[in-house]
Amino acid sequence: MSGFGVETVKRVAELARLQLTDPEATKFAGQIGDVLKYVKKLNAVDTSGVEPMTNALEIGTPTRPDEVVPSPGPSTMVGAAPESVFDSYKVPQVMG
Amino acid sequence: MILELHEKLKTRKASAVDLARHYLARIKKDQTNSYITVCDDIALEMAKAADDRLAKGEDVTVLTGIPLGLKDLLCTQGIRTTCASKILGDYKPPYDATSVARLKKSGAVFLGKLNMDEFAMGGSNENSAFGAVKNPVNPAHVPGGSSGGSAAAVKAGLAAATLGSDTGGSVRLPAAYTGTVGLKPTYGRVSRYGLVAFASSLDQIGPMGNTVADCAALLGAIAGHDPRDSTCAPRESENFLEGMKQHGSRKLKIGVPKEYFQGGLAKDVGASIDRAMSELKKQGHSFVEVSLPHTEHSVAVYYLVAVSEASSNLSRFDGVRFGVRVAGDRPLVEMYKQTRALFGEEVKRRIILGTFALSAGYYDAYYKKACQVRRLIKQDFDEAFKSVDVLISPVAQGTAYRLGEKISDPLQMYLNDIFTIPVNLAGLPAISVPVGRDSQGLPIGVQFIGKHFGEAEVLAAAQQVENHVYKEEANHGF
Repeated sequence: MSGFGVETVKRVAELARLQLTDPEATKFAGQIGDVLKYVKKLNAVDTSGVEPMTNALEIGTPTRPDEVVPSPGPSTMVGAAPESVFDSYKVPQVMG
Repeated sequence: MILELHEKLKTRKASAVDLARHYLARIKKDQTNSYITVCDDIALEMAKAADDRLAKGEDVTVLTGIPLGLKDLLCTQGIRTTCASKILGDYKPPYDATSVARLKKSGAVFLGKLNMDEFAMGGSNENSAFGAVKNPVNPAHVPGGSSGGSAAAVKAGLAAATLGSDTGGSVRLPAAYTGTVGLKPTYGRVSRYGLVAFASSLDQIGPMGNTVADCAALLGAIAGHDPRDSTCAPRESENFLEGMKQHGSRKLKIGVPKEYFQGGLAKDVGASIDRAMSELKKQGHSFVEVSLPHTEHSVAVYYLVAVSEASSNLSRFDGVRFGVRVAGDRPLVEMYKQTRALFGEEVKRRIILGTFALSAGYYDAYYKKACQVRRLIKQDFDEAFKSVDVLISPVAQGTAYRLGEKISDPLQMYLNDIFTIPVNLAGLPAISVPVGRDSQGLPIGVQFIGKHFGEAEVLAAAQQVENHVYKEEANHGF
C-alpha cells in the first residue's frame, strides 16, 4: 500500500456515506497516511498459524428460551426518529 | 466518599434531598464544563424517593440517595443523550441502559449527563461538540479523555461519583490526570446494553470516584449478567467492598512488566511509582519482573480494531432512526452524507480509517492481521498471570498536558495510550489510583492490572496505595 492520497480519502468517504470538505480530505490524507505508515510495523510480527481474536472473552454465543417478552411499542421507538409516518420511519426518495 | 455519605443518610443526619441540592448548587458554579445536561427536577424527584426508602429503612443500598453523574453515552430514558455529538441533537432514548436501570433500582440519584470526547473518541476531552472540559486541578490543562467530564466532576465535587466508559483507557487516563480513581472492569463484567457503542469488543462501563471504595461500591451495583448483552458474562455481581477487604489482608505478588518501564517515562511519574513499590514492599507485598513482549504493537492493533468496529457501529447514525436529519428534501444517499457531515473531525477521521481497513483488498492486511496480533498480546498476559496476582504499571508517560497541545497530531495522541490499550485488547480489569503529584502540582496515577474477573484483587492493590503511599484530598463541602 503506497501513499494514502486525497483521492483515496474521497473514495472511502463515499463508501462510508460521509460528506467531507476539500480541506478535510487533504488534512485526513496526511494524518491517516501517518497512521497507516505506523501500523505497518505489524508486518514484522510472525502470525502464521495464529487464530484471529475478535473478542477477549470468547464465551461463545449464549442462547435463551424463545419467549415473548414485553417491549416498547413501535410508536415509542419510531418516536425518536427525525421523521416518521404511521409508526414507520420516513425516508426521502431513494432513487436520485 | 460514598460510604461516608451513606452513613450520614442512613443515620438521617442528612437527607438525600439536601445532598442533591448541595451538588446541584455546586454544579451551577462549575468552571470545568463537566456537564452537558443537568437534570435538577429529576434529581430532586429521585432524592425524595430515596428519602422515603431511607425513612422506612426498606430496600436501602449503599447507593440510596447518593448523587451520581453519568457519561453522556449511557442511554437514559427521557433524558437527553448526546454522546457529545451534534448528530444526536436532543435525542431522548426510549429506554435505560442496564447499568442505569440498576443504579435506579439501587436508589441512586442522577444529577445529569457528563461531557466527553464525541462518541468516546479521544484522550483529552477536547473533541466535544459542547466544548472542552478543563482539568479542575489546573484549568489550563486537559482532564484526559474520553471520560473527561466524569473525572472532572468527581474531582471538582460536582457528583459524589460517576460512571465513565473505557475502550482504550478512557476511564483510567482521566482518573490519572485529575487525581481520582477509575476502574475498567473485565470485558463482560458489566452489561453494555444501552451504552452507545464505539468499539464493541473493547468498550466497558467503569466507575469513577474519589476513593477505591467508591469504585467498589458502584461496580457492585452495575455488574452482573444481562440477557440483553450477548457478550455479558454469565456470572452474578459480587460484593466488591467485601472482596477487596479479603484480598487486602493478603500479601500480593505483583508483576512489573519490563516493557512498560523502558524509557520515555516522565521523571516524576517514574519516581512516584518507584516510591509506591518500595512502600508496598514494606507492607510485605513482593515484586517480580515479567515480560509482555508484544506491548510495542498494541497501539497499532488497537487503532485498527477500534476504528474498524467504530466505522461499522457508527453507520447507524444516518438521519433515519435517531437525532438530526440534514437535507431531508434531497435523495436518500445525499441525505445520509450531509447528515453524517455533522460528525466532528476525530469521528470522521476514524470512520474513514476504519472503512478503509475493512474494505475489499485491505481487510486481511489490516483488520485480520491486527486481530492475530491481538491474540498474541492476550497470550503475553496469560503467561504473566501464571506467576503473579496483579501487574503494576504507569497509566501514562506524563501528566495532564496543556489544552490544545496535541490536538493537531492524532498519532501522537494515540501513542499516549500505550499503557492502557493492551488491557482492553486482552479484556482485563485495571484501575488507576493516585500515587502523587509532579513538580507542577499535576496528579500522577498508577495502574494495577488483574486477571479476568480479578477486580477484587485489583481494588485491594489500589487500596494499599491509598492506605500506605498516597491519598488525594477530597472535600465536596458536605
